[in-house]
Parts: sequence; structure tokens; C-alpha cells
Amino acid sequence: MSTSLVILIPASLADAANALGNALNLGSHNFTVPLTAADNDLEQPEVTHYGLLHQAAQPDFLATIKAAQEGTLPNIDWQENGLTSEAVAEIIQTMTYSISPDPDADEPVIHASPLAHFKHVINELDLRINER
Amino acid sequence: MTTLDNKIAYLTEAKSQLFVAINGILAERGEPLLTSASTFREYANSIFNPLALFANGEQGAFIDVSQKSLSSIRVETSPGVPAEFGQTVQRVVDKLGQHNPVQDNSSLKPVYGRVPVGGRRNLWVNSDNISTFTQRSRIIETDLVSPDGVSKVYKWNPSFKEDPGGKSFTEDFYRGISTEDGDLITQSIYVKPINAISRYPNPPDESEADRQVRLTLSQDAGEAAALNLYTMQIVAGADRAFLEDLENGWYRFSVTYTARTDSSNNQFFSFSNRTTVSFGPAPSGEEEVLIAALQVEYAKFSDSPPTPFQKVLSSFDVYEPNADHIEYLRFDFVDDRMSHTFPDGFQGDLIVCGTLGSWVDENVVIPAGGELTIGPKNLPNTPNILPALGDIIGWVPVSRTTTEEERAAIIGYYKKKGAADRLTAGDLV
Repeated sequence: MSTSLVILIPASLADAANALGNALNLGSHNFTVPLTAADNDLEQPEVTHYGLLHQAAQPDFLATIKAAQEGTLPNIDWQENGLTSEAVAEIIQTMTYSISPDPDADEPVIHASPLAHFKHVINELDLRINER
Repeated sequence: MTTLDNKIAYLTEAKSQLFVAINGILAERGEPLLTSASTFREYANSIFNPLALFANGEQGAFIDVSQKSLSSIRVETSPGVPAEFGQTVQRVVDKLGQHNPVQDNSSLKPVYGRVPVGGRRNLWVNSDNISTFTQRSRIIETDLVSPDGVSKVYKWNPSFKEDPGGKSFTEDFYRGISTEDGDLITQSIYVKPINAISRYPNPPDESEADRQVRLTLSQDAGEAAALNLYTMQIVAGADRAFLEDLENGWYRFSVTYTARTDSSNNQFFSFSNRTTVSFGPAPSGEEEVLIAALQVEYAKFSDSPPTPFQKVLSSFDVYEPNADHIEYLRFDFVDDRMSHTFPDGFQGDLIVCGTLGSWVDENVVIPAGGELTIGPKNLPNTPNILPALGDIIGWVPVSRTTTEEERAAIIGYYKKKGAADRLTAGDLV
């Protein structure tokens, strides 16, 4: 069973979130999808969040995230990666995190595809992709 | 031996090895073998190789994610490590050895997948793994081999107890799917009775119909079809059920019915001993039945037989024994992309071939040191085209304007691996 993963982060934390991804050996540029308020019709709407979609997240990564949400951060020299443990904790607590299928959900939502999963998550937050 | 003799001996040996290798591939595909030097030459001439596009020193790349050709490692989850189906892809090795497309960011990597030609039909992932079902029976995994050679075999070993009501005792297991009212569903299972109904005194006799150990397939409580495991006769739902003899004691039993959403949409596999009050209570005892290859699929007609079993390890890894498969990269159309770096720049055509369509991106210009990127939805000169191409089987950038004949030949090469016809702007309106 493949698990799709969606993470959204406030735009102000995007650089730190990318640095966190780099510290976890996931690459330095994962938060690449600019998001804006769904009802913002301006020609150049403000980007309020950045998102990522992973089609086939690995169980060990999902376990790392879950442990971090519960307060146990990976044993990494954060300062060496331009971060502090406080900044990492803020990212973990601030991010919107969704996996599909979610084994812990009371009534798991079945999405037709990872793309449908991503759209569902941003719709729930009244966001849309900023097609700049 | 002279140097010339050595070269001739080397070439002869290389030709022999190539001959054997090609015949091995043709045998796997069920195609006629090469039996002589002349058939070898004809076969070679019939194959268009995109490498020919680069005969005059053109720059570019030749990306083919299919493992069906002779090279071994082309799709990698990290440098030098072949990707398995369902894994994300960090690099695809350019068969020209010039410009490998790469993606180092975890969430931006496409996924390497395979699917039988004709697509996925089994709606259940890991349906040959009984642990994915809710079990109300005793089921034990075995190391036996199922008739299709790929699905796990389990021993269904219910321990019947005397039913105080005197009629029957049932054990079952089940799993659900998401359906809509009116969907036609075909539910199937391989079954091999080892010890069924042996406790009944004189089967079969005139009372056999009322005293039997049976396998029932259904959606929720509604009985759809039942099979007497001693006589191997369909005893309920015969107008919508099929029984196929797979030899060596194995059978495939199936039923097609109309799904109802007023129920829980669970597909039940029930094993019961039944008797009538006149014959007294159903006796206690143990039965043994081997089961394998459970499948649920949409059907076209109310009397549709099941299609061959598909082993679905994930939505990216669907395997069907004895079928041809398409191997692909799946982009998510949100952030997935792969990029080639061209240190000297690039100007020419890019031909991209996918399962829904193929596309010629003309006159692509990449400055020196720039990147040619496939994804998330775009090609360099065509926005939003990737979803229309489907899963991607390969692509070829070549640093010149290609002829229509060459474009057709490239697309023809990938069509043999599952790509679809060329799309034009008119197809996208």
C-alpha cells in the first residue's frame, strides 16, 4: 500500500522547512508549491503557504514525523544545518500534515489519487495553487 | 593467433551472445525465434533505435524507463541502486551516457511503476494477503504455490461446532470496497478442498443438497452464490456464478452481482456446514480448504466471468502472470519533475511518450548550464501537457529539428512499450 503525504507550511517558514528537509537528507527544495487564499482574485495574490506532495512516502519518514509531532526530534546537529531545535519544533507544530490512507483516522477518506489528496487538503484550508 | 584473428573471434563470440540474449527475450514474449543469420539481420533492420538520431554528434538524451530492452540498470532510487516498482526515482540513466535526468528532492521524485497492458482490474491492494481482511475464522498461511504461481496460499481451517439451532455453523472473513448503487461487481477466489464433508455419512445421496459444507460469496448478508465443496457443484446463484477447473484439485469460484450502498459494501467469503432439522444438528469437526487469489473487480454484465488474477502490491505495482506489462514513471502533476542539465546548452526537439499520448515539443531552447525539465505539468514549450500524456515511458531530446519520419519512428519505438499515439494541439481543445 502506498501512502501519499501532503505537508503545507506558512510562507514565512518555507526556508526553514526546506533547511529541515535538507537536514533529514530529503533534499533542500521540497516546499515548492506556492499557495494562496482561494478567494484572492488579485493578479498577483500573496503566497501564504508552500506545500509539497509525496506520492509514496516511506514508513520510516512517516515514523520520524509522527515522533517529532509527539515531541521526539531526530538526533541531528540542527545548528550545523542553520536551524535550532526551537525552530524545528515550531515547524513541526505549525505545519499541516496529512497522509492517505490514514491508519489512525476514524473514518479514513479514500482519495482517487495523490493529486486528489493534495487538492482535498488545500481545499479544506481554503487555499489554491498559485499558478504564477 | 594474429590480432585480426583475435578481433574476429571476439566479434563472433559477441554475436553469439547477442543471438542467445535476443532469443531469450523473444521466447519470453512468445515471439518467433531467430533461427539463422538472415533472420537475425532482418530482425535488426526492423528495430528502430533512437540512438540512430545521434549519429552525427547531436546532443541530447535517450530516456527509456522500460526494463524490457537489454540494458540492466536505468531507473534508480539513488545513484547506482535500481528502483523497485513503487519506489521514487532519483535518476534515470541516459542511454546515450550524456545527460541523466535527476531529482534530488524527496517529494519531487516521480514513482517507478508497472501495470499489465489493459490496466488494473483487481480493486483490492494485497488481496492475496489474508491479513488485509477481517477474519472470523481460522486461516493459516502456507508455503504452497497457487495455480497462478504468484499469490499466497492459505489453509482455511474452520472448527465447526454443533449449532444448538440444529441448522448450520458458519465462519467467514471479509473486506470492503467503495462502490456505488448499481455497480456490477465480480468477486472471485481460488479454492482447493482437502477435507470437506468427509464427516457426512453417505454423500452424495438424495439428502446431499441439504447436508453440505459450502463456500458462499456475497456482499454482506445477501447470499450471492454458493459452492458445495464435496460435489463441487454450484448450489445457489448458478445464473450468476462461475466455476473453473484449474487442475490439480484447484478451482476458481466467482459470482457477479449488483452492489448495494444500503449495506456496508463488504465482500464476504463464508464457509459453513449446513443440515436440516430433520437430519439433526450439524456435526462438529474440522475441515481443510486451501484458498488463494482473492479478487474483486468491476464487471460489464450480470453474468461476467472473472478476469485473470492480478497481484496488486500497491497502486504503482500491479502484476498479472502471463501478461505483458507497461513500466512507467508517474508524475503527480503537483510538484514532481526531473531535470537534465546541459552545460553547453541545447536547441532542438523534445519527444515525450506516455500511456495516454505522445507529444513533440518543438524548438526547445536551453541556455548553457540550464536545465531541461519534465514536469510538474509542463514541457519547456507546452504548459499543462503532462496530464494529457499520462504515465511517462520515455523521452528523447535531440539537438536539431527532427523530421516527421523520425518523430513517427521515435513514437513507434515507445508504442511497443505501451505509449499512445501522438497528440496534436487539436486533440487538447
